[in-house]
Amino acid sequence: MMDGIPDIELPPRDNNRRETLKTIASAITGSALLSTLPWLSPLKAAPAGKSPSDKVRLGLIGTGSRGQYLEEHLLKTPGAEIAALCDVYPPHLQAAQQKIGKPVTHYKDYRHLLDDKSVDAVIIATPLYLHAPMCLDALAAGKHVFCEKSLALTIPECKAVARTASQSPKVFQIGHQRLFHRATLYALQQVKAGDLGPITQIRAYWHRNVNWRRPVPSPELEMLLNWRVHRKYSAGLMTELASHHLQVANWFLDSPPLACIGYGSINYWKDGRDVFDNVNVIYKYPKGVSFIYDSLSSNRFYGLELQIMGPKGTLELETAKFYAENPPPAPGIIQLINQIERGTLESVALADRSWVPDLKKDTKGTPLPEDPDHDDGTGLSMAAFVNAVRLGEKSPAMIEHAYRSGVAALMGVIAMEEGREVAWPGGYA
Amino acid sequence: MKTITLPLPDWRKEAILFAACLVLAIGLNVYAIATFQTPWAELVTEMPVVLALALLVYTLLAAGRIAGYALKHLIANFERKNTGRKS
Repeated sequence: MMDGIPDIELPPRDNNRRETLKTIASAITGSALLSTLPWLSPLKAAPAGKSPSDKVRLGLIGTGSRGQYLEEHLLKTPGAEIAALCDVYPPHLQAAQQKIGKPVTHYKDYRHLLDDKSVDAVIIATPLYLHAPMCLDALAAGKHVFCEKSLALTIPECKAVARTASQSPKVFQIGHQRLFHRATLYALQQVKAGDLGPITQIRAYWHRNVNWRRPVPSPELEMLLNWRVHRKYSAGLMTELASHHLQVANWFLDSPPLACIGYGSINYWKDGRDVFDNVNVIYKYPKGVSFIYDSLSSNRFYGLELQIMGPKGTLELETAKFYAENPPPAPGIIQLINQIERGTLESVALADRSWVPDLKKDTKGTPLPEDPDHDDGTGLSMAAFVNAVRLGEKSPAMIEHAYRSGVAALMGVIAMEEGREVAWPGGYA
Repeated sequence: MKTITLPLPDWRKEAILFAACLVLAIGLNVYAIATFQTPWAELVTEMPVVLALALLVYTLLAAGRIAGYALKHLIANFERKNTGRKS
């Protein structure tokens, strides 16, 4: 452990997840930070043994790209057994089945999977519009639920899922892996320690240069495979991408947004889609702090980044670096050389000092500790979910994160679609 | 065709010259640490920079010496030709 942060180092090769989790458990136990990160608590439990009673039997609903990514992690998670699969698209189902390497029960209708009494918990990795009905049905069927982000397609649905999850005795977890990401946990520690001073602004962007479409074997599968670009099934860039950064903003500012305004349009991919291909939203948080977000589908030069800024420094979480506003001085010899260079090369003034533009500081920054296996947090989030189910350990904070980020993303969508300021709609209770 | 014989470098002399450059660079490091009030650990941690600086000074000296040698050679040739014409 270092500076009160759980030392969640994974070994270089991920061939013994059981031993890894034992190491994590011992590191997390007694961590001072644990009280503020309750969703990490299940990781302190000893990993499951090999007896069948120690196994958590999981049903994977949705076996597309994200579902299969979660499946790969689950196959390496001690105590996890994928007992059933469900998808309406046979090629995805077949691919997921092959990854397991042995035949498991599979369903086309998720309600039949929920009727399977041998399944303890479900992993929901389906299109956004299905999240709410599936979560509600699963909780009603007495299943523990892991639901991929974002929480739901509408704010009333978000409220319904969060309310039901909080009232249910079952575990509910959302797929915001940054809650388990090592560098992000260190960054939070830096913020709490005052390394940035008070947060004065958060800025995030996610830029891609793709049309977001998948190849469709026949036209009737268009809505099924390209649901992301159709408003009836998706809320577009805000729920698919921005919700991740909104979750971190809510977390680091310890509050949901008060309100937001924004503009969005379809300015490049005019291919029949009805979700924006570019979004630009400003969220207002308490204490005069703003979160500025934009996402593009037509330029990838700047990629993605999340910048947390204060008077003493900047954290860039996607590249896991901290930049001090006043970095320690360069070594003496370098300063001397620079002084000699300045004396010989810059003797002619180009302009008055006030003209000099405030260009970006070219500092290298201090790297935040990252997971040696480059786990983005998904591996640990799966392990935490399985342990939470095994221990029956609910985390209300997890439901709050799911609700706040899901609703904040939808506030942005409404602000852009209706051209007005959208206020925080309150809690779900 | 005239055969030109190049003398082998005097390694001992070159080593002394490089050591002098190194001492100069270390001296600059000490001066910089004292002037800018940076940690004395930089005597060790900045050794790669000091070595690079010493090498730079040595290279500049070598370039100067080669240029001097070439100039001296040219002047000697010029004088020899002029003396030949007069006689």
